[in-house]
Amino acid sequence: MYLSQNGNDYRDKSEVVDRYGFFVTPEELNSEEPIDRTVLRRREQKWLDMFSSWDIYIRDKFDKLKQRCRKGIPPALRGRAWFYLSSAEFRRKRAEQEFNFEIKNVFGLYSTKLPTANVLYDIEKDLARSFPDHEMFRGDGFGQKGLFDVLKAYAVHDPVVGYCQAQAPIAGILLMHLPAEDAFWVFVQINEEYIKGYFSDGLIAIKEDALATEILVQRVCPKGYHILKKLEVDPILYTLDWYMTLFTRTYRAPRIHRIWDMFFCEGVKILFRIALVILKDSLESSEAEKCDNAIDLVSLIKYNAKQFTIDQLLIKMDQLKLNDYDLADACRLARLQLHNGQKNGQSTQHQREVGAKRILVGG
Amino acid sequence: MLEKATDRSYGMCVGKSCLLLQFTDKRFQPVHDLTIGVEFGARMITIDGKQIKLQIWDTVNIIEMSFNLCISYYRGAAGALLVYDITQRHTFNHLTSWLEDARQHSNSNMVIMLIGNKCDLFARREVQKEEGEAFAREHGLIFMETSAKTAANVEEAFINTAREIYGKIQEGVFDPTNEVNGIKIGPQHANPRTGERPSSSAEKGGCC
Repeated sequence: MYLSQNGNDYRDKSEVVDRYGFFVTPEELNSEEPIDRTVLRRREQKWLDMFSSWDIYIRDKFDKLKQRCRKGIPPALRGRAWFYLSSAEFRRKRAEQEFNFEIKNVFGLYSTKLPTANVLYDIEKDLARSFPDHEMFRGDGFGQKGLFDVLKAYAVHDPVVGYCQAQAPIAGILLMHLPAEDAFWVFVQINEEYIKGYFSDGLIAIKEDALATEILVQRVCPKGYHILKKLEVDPILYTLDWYMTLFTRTYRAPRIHRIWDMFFCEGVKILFRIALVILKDSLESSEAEKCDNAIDLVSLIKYNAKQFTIDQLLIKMDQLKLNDYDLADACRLARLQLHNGQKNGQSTQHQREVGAKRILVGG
Repeated sequence: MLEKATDRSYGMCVGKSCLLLQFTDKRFQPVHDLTIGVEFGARMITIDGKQIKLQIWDTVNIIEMSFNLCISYYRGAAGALLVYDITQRHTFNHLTSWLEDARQHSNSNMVIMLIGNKCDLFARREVQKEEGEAFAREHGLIFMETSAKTAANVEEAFINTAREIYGKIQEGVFDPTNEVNGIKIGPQHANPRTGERPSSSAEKGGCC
């Protein structure tokens, strides 16, 4: 299958479209893993059963749910599962409540409003740049209207955050799975629950998580920590795009889908664990020892990150000697270091434990 | 890098990533992925028979300035390319504030080259070449118009910046034994046989 009309300007005859809509080389297409249809049907049935008793799975059978997310959500049900996992429906209803039930379609209302001119300009400029290698978004691809609608509606919904470039690829991935309105409410949940503060002015939450990552490197890979310190590599250099775009700049489908399956269930700790696997592996390599400057080392880490298969990531994530307590502790230390022990109104203390369960049942 | 809409910084596609790609990989990508975070490019060049490894950092904007690291990386840069788009007047109008930030945080000897990119799009030109020249003259910058698409002057822009830096090393303005200047002499691990040679790092910045 060759490019659709949408991509005409950028047609490259060597490109084919994979089953996820990404343009790849024929060699990449052949390397796709075959899916066992019987296993897939069985998983689909299990997920349909879970949808019909969702509350029970979240409250009492969360480990089962988590395990199924780790195995990968069946592609046909992925969008719906993300919608459920993020409690997007609850957020939609709460928005109606905020408008005293006078507005039945809050997304529709947002769509009739405009953010400031420079926000609008920035969104429009990025539409074709968020996924130039996907048939929905390349050139004047059919997905760009949805992307524009979602990003514009969010800027109206939260004018303080407005629009940040890293949001475009996140919305893009959602739109590959969900209609614009549903994608919007999942997008709101990502921004307000999962990675709250990542796009706020000053980017405090990102700085905290970057530093917490470095603290955890010291714990899981002291030798690597020593190299990072020796070459004065600021953790922002390697974590910023991983965390802010939820790894969409590093992984394409199907790996990014699998990562998001886990992320929607377990929250931001998945980002940390993947980052630590990549860092540990890269910094323990002989190439890392040869690096004599920060740029070469970060380039090595970024290159290395792309080489992992999803199975390698999963196995190594399991092998990390790290629990939720260590993660929370690293975040606490990072906050203390960054704010120098001051009481800080923008503390992100509660946010590190956000996952599907916490969003739905709290506590 | 990351661009965020604020009053001061319109996110801009002036072609920073495309210039870098043209210089390091000799190819043009009409629509480049959003650059989020920090991206780097590197290429070996030869000046006066000396092999020099250029390390290029893509890129800096107002938001990143809030990170201490950017300030430290600014200090550690020997050169910068300040890029605007000749078809978008507002990108040219932002140069003054960008230059102030760069000068404030960088080594005072940093070589800054002003680049008017997209010169292949002459029919849509909004900023005249003379205006770029005048701005560069006024602020003591080197000036060049480039096209990442046709590759016009791209090679020259990076190499001339490196040549200026090299000149400053020869004159003793930059002390290559002090890594704070972003310059390092020594064997490169990539090719340990070549022995001693200077390696400079240039930083490429955008006006956003």
